[in-house]
Amino acid sequence: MSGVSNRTKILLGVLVLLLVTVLWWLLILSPQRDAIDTAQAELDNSLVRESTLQTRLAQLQQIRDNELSYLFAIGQMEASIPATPQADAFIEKLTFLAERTGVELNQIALTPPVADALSGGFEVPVSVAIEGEYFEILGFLYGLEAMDRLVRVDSIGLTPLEGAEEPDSTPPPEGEGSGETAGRLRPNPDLLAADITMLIFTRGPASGSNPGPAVTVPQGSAELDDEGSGEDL
Amino acid sequence: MRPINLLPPEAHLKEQARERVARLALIGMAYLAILFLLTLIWQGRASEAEQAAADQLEINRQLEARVIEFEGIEAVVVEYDANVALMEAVLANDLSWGRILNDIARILPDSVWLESFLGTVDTDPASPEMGSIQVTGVGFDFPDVSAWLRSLDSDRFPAATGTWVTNVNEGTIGQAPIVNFVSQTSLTEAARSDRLESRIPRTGL
Repeated sequence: MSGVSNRTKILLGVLVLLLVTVLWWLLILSPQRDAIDTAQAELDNSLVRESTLQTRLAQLQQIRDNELSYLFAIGQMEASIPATPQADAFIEKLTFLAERTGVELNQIALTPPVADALSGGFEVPVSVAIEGEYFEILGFLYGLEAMDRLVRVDSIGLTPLEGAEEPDSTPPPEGEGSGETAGRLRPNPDLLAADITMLIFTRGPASGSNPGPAVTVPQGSAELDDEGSGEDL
Repeated sequence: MRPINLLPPEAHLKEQARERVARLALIGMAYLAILFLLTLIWQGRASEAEQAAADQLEINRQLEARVIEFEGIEAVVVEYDANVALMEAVLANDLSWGRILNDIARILPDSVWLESFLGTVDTDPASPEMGSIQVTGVGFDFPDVSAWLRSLDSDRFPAATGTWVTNVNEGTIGQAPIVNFVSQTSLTEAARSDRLESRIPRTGL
């Protein structure tokens, strides 16, 4: 009887240990493991977040290091496309360019700014009539491309310049002529007339006074007429 | 000398049972001690993990504070990007007319000269061509018109494609026979100016 009792005691002891182990697992170890898992997941998320923040910070620092170059670039682009039409300055620059390249500026026609849905800015259609030799006109076109103010040429027409009336050396057909020499206009082989339509751009519509539909520069054409009238073509 | 036990065997059995129970109790105590040790180890691990997570959170908080401090600088990038978008939109159809005229003068056959030139930009986004050129020209004979067509469609002038002559008429200049022709050509991507690159300043990034 006492042998069975001892075995029972041992069995009970083992059972108690098993029970303690299960309780230890459930009540102590398992919450600890859960806490570790939670902390590890939090750490992993934090590490990912840190990586994102480091990248973002590096970008922002790089921007700050390049702030001057950004501001310079913005300034340049704002000079290309100013906030207001600045038609007065543009006419001055165009006149200066014509003088520098040697072309005669006959007419500048400026249309009030038109909103451009595509770019979100405003376009100012400009029509310019000039006269000059081929390479002078070429220089004028290159000058337009290089202007601080952005100018986009959308069409260009070149025609030989009509010269002055001169006596025709060919005899008139029989029966028509009365012996007088017939006059005719002959093209000047060196001078060309160029009609250029272009666009300048602005970020806002015209403020204050509305620019007129056309600004004419009469001096150029007057000079040309004077020069042209005496020239022998 | 050999020990002689004079106690009855029952007494020895009881002693053995007591010893067994005591051993079992000792093993139980040792087992509980191991469990306690394991608990301490796991608690340490959990504390370490929680501390590491808390430290990382603190690092992130400091980084966030620095990011917030720098964020104002981003306005300059937004402004730059808006300017670039505007420049790209307005220069989308920009052709280099100076270069086009220069190239035409360079490839013009010796026996051909032009009397008028009209170049226009095609602003239709659906159109494959960038623009077109229409000219009226003069040559000494019909083959000169062929030479004009070959020159414009050659590799020397990649800005033009699909050159066509709509009309060629015989005529005279004084006593000399000539041919007048009307021609048109389409402008390709090669006619585009490089101002999209040159007029948009880069920022060093």
